[in-house]
Amino acid sequence: MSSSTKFLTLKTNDKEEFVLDEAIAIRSQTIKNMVEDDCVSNVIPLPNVDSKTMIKVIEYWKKHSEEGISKDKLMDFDKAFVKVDQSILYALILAANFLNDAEMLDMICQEVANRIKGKTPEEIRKEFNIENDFTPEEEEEIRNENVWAFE
Amino acid sequence: MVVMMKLLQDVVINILLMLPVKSLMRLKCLSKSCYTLVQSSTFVNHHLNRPTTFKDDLIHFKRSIKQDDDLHKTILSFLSGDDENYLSPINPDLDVPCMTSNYSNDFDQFIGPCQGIIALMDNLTTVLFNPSTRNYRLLPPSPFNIPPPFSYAIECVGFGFDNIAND
Repeated sequence: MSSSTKFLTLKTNDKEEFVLDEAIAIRSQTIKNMVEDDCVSNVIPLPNVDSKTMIKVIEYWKKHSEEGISKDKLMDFDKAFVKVDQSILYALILAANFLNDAEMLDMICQEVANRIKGKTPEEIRKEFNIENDFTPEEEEEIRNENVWAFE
Repeated sequence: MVVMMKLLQDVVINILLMLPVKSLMRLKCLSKSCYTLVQSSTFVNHHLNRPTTFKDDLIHFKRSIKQDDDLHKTILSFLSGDDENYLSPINPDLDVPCMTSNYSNDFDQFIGPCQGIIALMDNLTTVLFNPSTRNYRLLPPSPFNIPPPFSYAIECVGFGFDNIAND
Protein backbone atom coordinates (compact mmCIF):
# COMPACT_ATOMS: atom_id res chain seq x y z
CA MET A 1 0.00 0.00 0.00
CA SER A 2 1.31 3.46 -0.79
CA SER A 3 2.05 5.82 2.03
CA SER A 4 0.25 8.80 0.50
CA THR A 5 -3.27 9.40 1.68
CA LYS A 6 -5.84 7.66 -0.43
CA PHE A 7 -9.48 8.57 -0.44
CA LEU A 8 -12.47 6.35 -0.89
CA THR A 9 -15.94 7.37 -1.92
CA LEU A 10 -18.77 5.67 -0.09
CA LYS A 11 -22.28 5.83 -1.46
CA THR A 12 -25.21 5.24 0.86
CA ASN A 13 -28.58 3.84 -0.18
CA ASP A 14 -30.10 7.32 -0.46
CA LYS A 15 -27.47 8.26 -3.06
CA GLU A 16 -25.34 10.47 -0.83
CA GLU A 17 -21.61 10.27 -1.36
CA PHE A 18 -19.01 10.48 1.37
CA VAL A 19 -15.34 10.96 0.61
CA LEU A 20 -13.23 9.46 3.33
CA ASP A 21 -9.57 8.84 4.07
CA GLU A 22 -8.93 5.18 3.33
CA ALA A 23 -7.05 4.73 6.63
CA ILE A 24 -10.25 5.68 8.45
CA ALA A 25 -12.67 3.79 6.22
CA ILE A 26 -10.86 0.50 6.72
CA ARG A 27 -12.04 0.47 10.31
CA SER A 28 -14.85 -1.32 8.55
CA GLN A 29 -13.72 -4.89 7.95
CA THR A 30 -16.11 -5.05 5.01
CA ILE A 31 -14.45 -2.11 3.30
CA LYS A 32 -11.00 -3.31 4.29
CA ASN A 33 -11.63 -6.64 2.57
CA MET A 34 -12.77 -4.86 -0.55
CA VAL A 35 -9.67 -2.68 -0.60
CA GLU A 36 -7.36 -5.64 0.00
CA ASP A 37 -8.99 -7.65 -2.73
CA ASP A 38 -8.69 -4.67 -5.08
CA CYS A 39 -12.42 -4.56 -5.64
CA VAL A 40 -12.54 -0.82 -5.19
CA SER A 41 -12.83 0.98 -8.49
CA ASN A 42 -14.24 4.35 -7.64
CA VAL A 43 -17.38 4.36 -5.55
CA ILE A 44 -18.20 1.82 -2.84
CA PRO A 45 -21.94 1.28 -2.57
CA LEU A 46 -23.37 0.72 0.90
CA PRO A 47 -26.85 -0.62 0.17
CA ASN A 48 -27.71 -1.22 3.84
CA VAL A 49 -26.78 2.18 5.25
CA ASP A 50 -28.51 5.53 4.91
CA SER A 51 -26.75 8.88 4.96
CA LYS A 52 -28.04 9.93 8.38
CA THR A 53 -26.55 6.83 9.95
CA MET A 54 -23.35 7.11 7.91
CA ILE A 55 -22.75 10.60 9.28
CA LYS A 56 -22.83 9.17 12.81
CA VAL A 57 -20.58 6.26 11.84
CA ILE A 58 -18.01 8.55 10.27
CA GLU A 59 -18.13 10.81 13.33
CA TYR A 60 -17.30 7.75 15.44
CA TRP A 61 -14.54 6.54 13.12
CA LYS A 62 -12.89 9.95 12.97
CA LYS A 63 -12.91 10.36 16.75
CA HIS A 64 -11.50 6.90 17.28
CA SER A 65 -8.78 7.50 14.69
CA GLU A 66 -7.57 10.72 16.26
CA GLU A 67 -3.95 10.50 17.21
CA GLY A 68 -3.03 10.69 20.88
CA ILE A 69 -6.59 10.89 22.14
CA SER A 70 -6.88 9.69 25.73
CA LYS A 71 -8.95 6.69 26.75
CA ASP A 72 -11.05 8.84 29.06
CA LYS A 73 -11.91 11.20 26.26
CA LEU A 74 -12.94 8.30 24.05
CA MET A 75 -15.10 6.90 26.81
CA ASP A 76 -16.84 10.23 27.24
CA PHE A 77 -17.33 10.40 23.50
CA ASP A 78 -18.80 6.89 23.38
CA LYS A 79 -21.15 7.69 26.23
CA ALA A 80 -22.50 10.74 24.46
CA PHE A 81 -22.53 8.91 21.13
CA VAL A 82 -25.04 6.28 22.24
CA LYS A 83 -27.38 8.75 23.93
CA VAL A 84 -29.72 8.67 20.98
CA ASP A 85 -33.20 7.54 20.18
CA GLN A 86 -33.90 3.81 19.98
CA SER A 87 -34.47 3.91 16.21
CA ILE A 88 -31.13 5.59 15.56
CA LEU A 89 -29.43 3.08 17.81
CA TYR A 90 -30.87 0.23 15.75
CA ALA A 91 -29.85 1.84 12.50
CA LEU A 92 -26.35 2.08 13.96
CA ILE A 93 -26.37 -1.59 14.96
CA LEU A 94 -27.44 -2.61 11.47
CA ALA A 95 -24.76 -0.37 9.96
CA ALA A 96 -22.02 -1.56 12.30
CA ASN A 97 -23.02 -5.13 11.60
CA PHE A 98 -22.99 -4.63 7.83
CA LEU A 99 -19.75 -2.66 7.87
CA ASN A 100 -18.35 -5.27 10.24
CA ASP A 101 -16.84 -2.93 12.81
CA ALA A 102 -16.68 -5.18 15.87
CA GLU A 103 -15.53 -2.48 18.25
CA MET A 104 -18.40 -0.17 17.43
CA LEU A 105 -20.95 -2.98 17.36
CA ASP A 106 -19.83 -4.15 20.79
CA MET A 107 -20.08 -0.67 22.22
CA ILE A 108 -23.64 -0.19 20.96
CA CYS A 109 -24.71 -3.69 22.05
CA GLN A 110 -23.49 -2.84 25.54
CA GLU A 111 -25.70 0.24 25.49
CA VAL A 112 -28.76 -1.82 24.48
CA ALA A 113 -27.92 -4.30 27.24
CA ASN A 114 -27.71 -1.42 29.73
CA ARG A 115 -31.12 -0.21 28.61
CA ILE A 116 -32.60 -3.66 29.22
CA LYS A 117 -30.92 -4.28 32.57
CA GLY A 118 -33.04 -2.46 35.11
CA LYS A 119 -36.38 -2.74 33.35
CA THR A 120 -39.48 -4.77 34.11
CA PRO A 121 -40.78 -7.16 31.44
CA GLU A 122 -43.63 -4.76 30.64
CA GLU A 123 -41.23 -1.89 30.05
CA ILE A 124 -39.00 -4.01 27.86
CA ARG A 125 -41.92 -5.23 25.78
CA LYS A 126 -43.05 -1.68 25.23
CA GLU A 127 -39.64 -0.29 24.46
CA PHE A 128 -38.60 -3.06 22.09
CA ASN A 129 -42.04 -3.69 20.67
CA ILE A 130 -42.19 -7.36 21.63
CA GLU A 131 -45.49 -9.14 21.44
CA ASN A 132 -46.44 -11.21 24.46
CA ASP A 133 -47.55 -14.56 23.09
CA PHE A 134 -47.94 -16.28 26.46
CA THR A 135 -51.29 -16.89 28.06
CA PRO A 136 -51.58 -15.19 31.46
CA GLU A 137 -51.29 -18.60 33.14
CA GLU A 138 -48.12 -19.50 31.27
CA GLU A 139 -46.57 -16.16 32.10
CA GLU A 140 -47.49 -16.52 35.75
CA GLU A 141 -45.82 -19.92 35.83
CA ILE A 142 -42.55 -18.66 34.40
CA ARG A 143 -42.59 -15.73 36.81
CA ASN A 144 -43.09 -18.09 39.72
CA GLU A 145 -40.06 -20.13 38.68
CA ASN A 146 -37.87 -17.13 39.32
CA VAL A 147 -39.65 -14.91 41.77
CA TRP A 148 -36.39 -13.45 43.04
CA ALA A 149 -35.61 -11.93 39.66
CA PHE A 150 -38.65 -9.69 39.93
CA GLU A 151 -37.99 -8.41 43.43
CA MET B 1 -36.32 -5.67 18.27
CA VAL B 2 -38.75 -8.15 16.74
CA VAL B 3 -37.49 -7.29 13.28
CA MET B 4 -33.97 -7.36 14.59
CA MET B 5 -34.42 -10.74 16.19
CA LYS B 6 -35.27 -12.12 12.82
CA LEU B 7 -32.53 -10.28 10.99
CA LEU B 8 -29.61 -10.49 13.31
CA GLN B 9 -29.96 -13.27 15.77
CA ASP B 10 -26.26 -13.29 16.53
CA VAL B 11 -26.33 -9.60 17.39
CA VAL B 12 -29.26 -10.15 19.73
CA ILE B 13 -27.44 -13.05 21.37
CA ASN B 14 -24.42 -10.81 21.70
CA ILE B 15 -26.53 -8.27 23.56
CA LEU B 16 -28.11 -10.85 25.83
CA LEU B 17 -24.70 -12.27 26.73
CA MET B 18 -23.86 -8.92 28.27
CA LEU B 19 -26.75 -9.15 30.70
CA PRO B 20 -26.58 -10.53 34.22
CA VAL B 21 -28.54 -13.68 35.03
CA LYS B 22 -31.22 -11.75 36.90
CA SER B 23 -32.18 -9.71 33.84
CA LEU B 24 -32.19 -12.85 31.73
CA MET B 25 -34.59 -14.57 34.13
CA ARG B 26 -36.89 -11.60 33.66
CA LEU B 27 -36.54 -11.74 29.88
CA LYS B 28 -37.81 -15.29 29.91
CA CYS B 29 -41.37 -14.13 30.40
CA LEU B 30 -41.32 -11.63 27.51
CA SER B 31 -42.36 -13.98 24.75
CA LYS B 32 -42.00 -17.56 23.66
CA SER B 33 -39.05 -16.90 21.41
CA CYS B 34 -37.20 -15.09 24.20
CA TYR B 35 -37.93 -17.96 26.56
CA THR B 36 -36.64 -20.58 24.15
CA LEU B 37 -33.52 -18.57 23.42
CA VAL B 38 -32.55 -17.86 27.02
CA GLN B 39 -33.41 -21.38 28.13
CA SER B 40 -31.46 -23.13 25.37
CA SER B 41 -28.36 -25.03 26.40
CA THR B 42 -26.33 -23.35 23.67
CA PHE B 43 -27.09 -19.95 25.10
CA VAL B 44 -26.47 -21.09 28.67
CA ASN B 45 -23.08 -22.41 27.62
CA HIS B 46 -22.16 -19.20 25.86
CA HIS B 47 -23.19 -17.22 28.89
CA LEU B 48 -21.18 -19.44 31.22
CA ASN B 49 -18.07 -19.12 29.10
CA ARG B 50 -18.40 -15.48 28.19
CA PRO B 51 -15.47 -13.24 28.95
CA THR B 52 -16.33 -11.09 31.92
CA THR B 53 -14.81 -7.97 33.29
CA PHE B 54 -15.75 -8.72 36.87
CA LYS B 55 -12.89 -8.09 39.21
CA ASP B 56 -13.95 -10.18 42.14
CA ASP B 57 -12.81 -13.70 41.79
CA LEU B 58 -13.86 -14.75 45.24
CA ILE B 59 -17.36 -15.44 46.34
CA HIS B 60 -17.98 -15.88 49.97
CA PHE B 61 -20.50 -18.56 50.66
CA LYS B 62 -22.32 -18.43 53.95
CA ARG B 63 -24.65 -20.96 55.45
CA SER B 64 -26.61 -19.86 58.40
CA ILE B 65 -28.87 -22.07 60.40
CA LYS B 66 -32.00 -20.69 61.88
CA GLN B 67 -33.42 -22.55 64.80
CA ASP B 68 -37.15 -22.33 65.23
CA ASP B 69 -38.48 -24.61 67.93
CA ASP B 70 -37.52 -27.99 66.56
CA LEU B 71 -36.74 -26.90 63.05
CA HIS B 72 -33.28 -26.28 61.73
CA LYS B 73 -33.61 -24.12 58.71
CA THR B 74 -30.77 -23.62 56.29
CA ILE B 75 -30.31 -20.26 54.70
CA LEU B 76 -27.68 -19.73 52.08
CA SER B 77 -26.18 -16.42 51.20
CA PHE B 78 -23.68 -15.57 48.55
CA LEU B 79 -21.51 -12.59 49.27
CA SER B 80 -18.87 -10.94 47.23
CA GLY B 81 -16.12 -8.89 48.71
CA ASP B 82 -14.63 -5.71 47.35
CA ASP B 83 -11.40 -4.00 48.24
CA GLU B 84 -12.46 -2.59 51.58
CA ASN B 85 -13.05 -5.93 53.23
CA TYR B 86 -16.71 -5.29 53.03
CA LEU B 87 -19.03 -8.07 51.99
CA SER B 88 -22.11 -7.37 49.98
CA PRO B 89 -24.75 -9.89 49.00
CA ILE B 90 -24.84 -10.86 45.34
CA ASN B 91 -28.41 -11.93 45.47
CA PRO B 92 -31.01 -12.33 48.17
CA ASP B 93 -30.61 -15.11 50.70
CA LEU B 94 -31.92 -18.46 49.70
CA ASP B 95 -34.06 -20.57 51.97
CA VAL B 96 -33.83 -24.22 51.06
CA PRO B 97 -36.77 -26.30 52.29
CA CYS B 98 -35.22 -29.64 51.39
CA MET B 99 -32.33 -28.87 53.71
CA THR B 100 -34.60 -28.23 56.62
CA SER B 101 -34.76 -31.00 59.14
CA ASN B 102 -36.10 -31.34 62.63
CA TYR B 103 -33.16 -32.91 64.31
CA SER B 104 -29.84 -31.61 63.16
CA ASN B 105 -28.17 -29.84 60.37
CA ASP B 106 -24.96 -31.12 59.10
CA PHE B 107 -24.63 -30.48 55.44
CA ASP B 108 -20.97 -30.17 56.07
CA GLN B 109 -19.33 -31.12 52.85
CA PHE B 110 -18.90 -28.58 50.13
CA ILE B 111 -17.80 -29.63 46.67
CA GLY B 112 -17.20 -27.61 43.57
CA PRO B 113 -17.64 -25.36 41.87
CA CYS B 114 -17.86 -27.20 38.58
CA GLN B 115 -19.35 -25.38 35.60
CA GLY B 116 -20.88 -22.90 38.02
CA ILE B 117 -22.53 -25.56 40.16
CA ILE B 118 -21.73 -26.38 43.75
CA ALA B 119 -22.78 -29.37 45.81
CA LEU B 120 -23.57 -29.62 49.49
CA MET B 121 -24.01 -32.89 51.24
CA ASP B 122 -24.46 -34.70 54.50
CA ASN B 123 -24.41 -38.39 55.27
CA LEU B 124 -27.53 -39.20 53.34
CA THR B 125 -28.33 -36.56 50.81
CA THR B 126 -26.68 -34.38 48.28
CA VAL B 127 -28.05 -31.09 47.02
CA LEU B 128 -26.78 -29.35 43.91
CA PHE B 129 -26.92 -25.58 43.62
CA ASN B 130 -26.59 -23.08 40.90
CA PRO B 131 -25.84 -19.84 42.78
CA SER B 132 -26.56 -17.58 39.82
CA THR B 133 -30.01 -18.83 38.94
CA ARG B 134 -30.67 -19.82 42.55
CA ASN B 135 -31.90 -23.20 41.43
CA TYR B 136 -31.26 -26.22 43.54
CA ARG B 137 -31.90 -29.88 43.05
CA LEU B 138 -31.96 -32.74 45.46
CA LEU B 139 -30.11 -35.71 44.06
CA PRO B 140 -32.01 -38.99 44.11
CA PRO B 141 -30.68 -41.47 46.68
CA SER B 142 -28.08 -43.94 45.63
CA PRO B 143 -29.51 -46.89 43.75
CA PHE B 144 -27.43 -49.43 45.63
CA ASN B 145 -29.10 -51.60 48.22
CA ILE B 146 -27.37 -51.98 51.50
CA PRO B 147 -27.56 -55.33 53.25
CA PRO B 148 -29.01 -55.01 56.78
CA PRO B 149 -25.98 -55.17 59.06
CA PHE B 150 -24.42 -52.20 57.31
CA SER B 151 -25.67 -48.70 57.45
CA TYR B 152 -25.70 -46.18 54.71
CA ALA B 153 -23.36 -43.23 54.72
CA ILE B 154 -21.80 -41.20 52.00
CA GLU B 155 -18.22 -40.61 52.89
CA CYS B 156 -16.65 -39.19 49.84
CA VAL B 157 -18.05 -37.85 46.65
CA GLY B 158 -16.92 -36.10 43.55
CA PHE B 159 -18.80 -34.70 40.67
CA GLY B 160 -17.86 -33.55 37.23
CA PHE B 161 -19.00 -32.32 33.90
CA ASP B 162 -19.59 -34.56 30.93
CA ASN B 163 -18.66 -32.36 28.02
CA ILE B 164 -19.93 -34.80 25.45
CA ALA B 165 -23.41 -35.14 26.88
CA ASN B 166 -23.21 -31.56 28.14
CA ASP B 167 -24.44 -32.63 31.53
